[in-house]
Order: sequence, then structure tokens, then C-alpha cells
Amino acid sequence: MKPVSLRALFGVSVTLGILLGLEFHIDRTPSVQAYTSYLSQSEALNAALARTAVLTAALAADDAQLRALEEVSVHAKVGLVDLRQELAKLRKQAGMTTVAGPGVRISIAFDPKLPIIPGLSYVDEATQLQIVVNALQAGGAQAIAINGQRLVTTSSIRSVHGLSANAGPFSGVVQVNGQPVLAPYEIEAVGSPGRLVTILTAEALGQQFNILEQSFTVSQFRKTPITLPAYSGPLPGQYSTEVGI
Amino acid sequence: MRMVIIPLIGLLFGLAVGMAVNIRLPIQYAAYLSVAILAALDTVFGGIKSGLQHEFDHRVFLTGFFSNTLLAAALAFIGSLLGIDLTLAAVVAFGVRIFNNVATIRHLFLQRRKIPSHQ
Repeated sequence: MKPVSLRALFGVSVTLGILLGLEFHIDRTPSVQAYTSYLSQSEALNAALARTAVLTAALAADDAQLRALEEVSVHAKVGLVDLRQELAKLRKQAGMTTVAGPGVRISIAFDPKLPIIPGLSYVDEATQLQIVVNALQAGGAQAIAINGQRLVTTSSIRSVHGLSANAGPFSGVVQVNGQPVLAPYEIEAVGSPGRLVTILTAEALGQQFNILEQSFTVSQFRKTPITLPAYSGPLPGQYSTEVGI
Repeated sequence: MRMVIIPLIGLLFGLAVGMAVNIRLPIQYAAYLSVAILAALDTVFGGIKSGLQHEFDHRVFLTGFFSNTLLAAALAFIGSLLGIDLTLAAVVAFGVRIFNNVATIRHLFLQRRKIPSHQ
């Protein structure tokens, strides 16, 4: 064989070897979809167009849902305002807020100058205070407090016997809302002063206290408002926990 | 003997060069390269056959090698543009030629070695 033929054979062999070597460099794990023909590209384009329509529909549905949620959000905001107003109203009704307005202040204090029923050694103060409170409520009092203890629907007025060193038949200790309240007592009520005084007079509560050696003074606040503190004690259910359903 | 050794050395050398080169070919070119290799193999076997028949012409061999290789790759590329898998046509054509060439080479080799047949 001629040398030129051998050189040609060698060159072709080298070229073939290079081609075979390049075969090993083909990236057979492409990150994107490979299109080997025009048809496959067309099919991919058609598939993409079809998917676009589906995605457009899904986008429209999402937009509609977003609008619905925004409307609900607006309603929720309105509802939140209503709920807050309702909460404020309920807090006021429950005695959780300070109340100021026209009213009366009743001062009950031991007065040794007053007569006393002979032989009387003990009077249940809680009962006496309850009578006054009931009369005030009957007179339309909007809020009542005894020595700064605001009375609410769950309030209690109790007597604890034998713990007071006060003189006179009022010898116990009164607990209002579970807190000790000592004489002299000041019962404040917000309401119509005229109606409150009228019912106190009609019930003759002043005379009842006077014969128990207690002064009973009623002060009216018509122009200058009287301010009652908010209830700060425990609420019903505050210490309870929900039982699993 | 040189006719076997020299191409073998060239093949190994080219293979080493092709593997050593730092290049990353995308999968789209795999079909073109494969068809080109097939055409090149066809030309090589044709060259061996003509060498055994004492009809080897390096001009025919070289032009045939490059024209067949490029034509096969171009055919595959045009096929992909037209949406027709012309790669198959090249594979069938070159495959048949390779089998024919290898068969002829085998026959020439057997005759030259004087290996007796059973008939």
C-alpha cells in the first residue's frame, strides 16, 4: 500500500476516533426538554398553548376567589367593628367600665348619739346593705358601688361574723365581691337622684338605720357627676377550663 | 500488517483526543453524530474491502469518508427540520453497506487464508 494511502487511512481513523470520543461527551441528562424534530417542537408548543388556556382559566378562578375573599374581608372588618361595639356595650352593662353621672351617695356610720333598740347586740350588716342596694336598684340605679366595690350581677354581699372590733351592733365584717369592706359605709349609685331619694324615703331606710345607732345620710349629685369605678374582680368562668367534648 | 496497525493506532489516538477534549454536546446533536459515525464506519469498511481487493484509492477513500459523513449528518438535520426521521434512511442505507462490506471482507480474508470450505 502506498504511503499516501496509509496516511489517508490514518487520518480517517483519527477522525473516526474523535467522532467516537465525542459521543461520550453528549449530555444525555438535559435539564430542559430536548426537541429533536420540528414536529416535537410543534407538539410541545401546542401542549404549552393548551396548558396556557388551562392556567388562564385557573388564574381567572383564583382572581374570582381573591375578590370573594376581599369582599368577605370587608364584611369581616364591618363585623369586627360591630363586635367591638357589642363588646363595649356588654362591658358597660356588665360593670366592667367606669360610670359617671348624676346619682346619690349614702353614708352609713356608727353614731352613738342615736337611740338603739334596747337589748339589740347584733345586726347583720350585709342584710342591711342588701336592703339599701335592692331599694336603689328598684329606684332605677344604673350602677352601684359600696366603698369603691362595684356591684355587678355576680357580686355578693356577705357578713363575716366576729372579726370586727367596731362599736355598736354592726360588729361583723362585710365582704363585697369577696373583699372586706369596713364601716363607715358609702353606697354610691348612678341614676336619677330624685327617684333614688324618693324610694329611699318611701322605704324609710333612714329611720331603720337610725334605730340601729347608725346615721344614714343621702347626698345628691345632680349637676356634678358622681363617678363609680369599674368592676375589677374575677369574672364567671375566669378560672374554669373547657372540658374536652 | 501495517494496514491494520496504522488505522488501529489512529483510531486509538483519535479516541483519546475525542475523550480528552473538554466539550459538552447537547442531546440534540446525538442523532447527527451517531449517523456521521455510521457513515464513517461504512467508509472505513469500504476502504478495507478495496484494500484487500487491491483497488484502494486514497482520493476515493478520503472524499467518500468526508462526503458520506457530512451528507449523513446533513440528512439527519434536514429530516429534523422537515419533521421526517431521515436518520432511519441513513441508518438503513449505511447499515446494509456495512454488512455487505464486512461480508466481502470476510470472504476475501477466507480466500486469502485458503481456509477450505465444507463443500
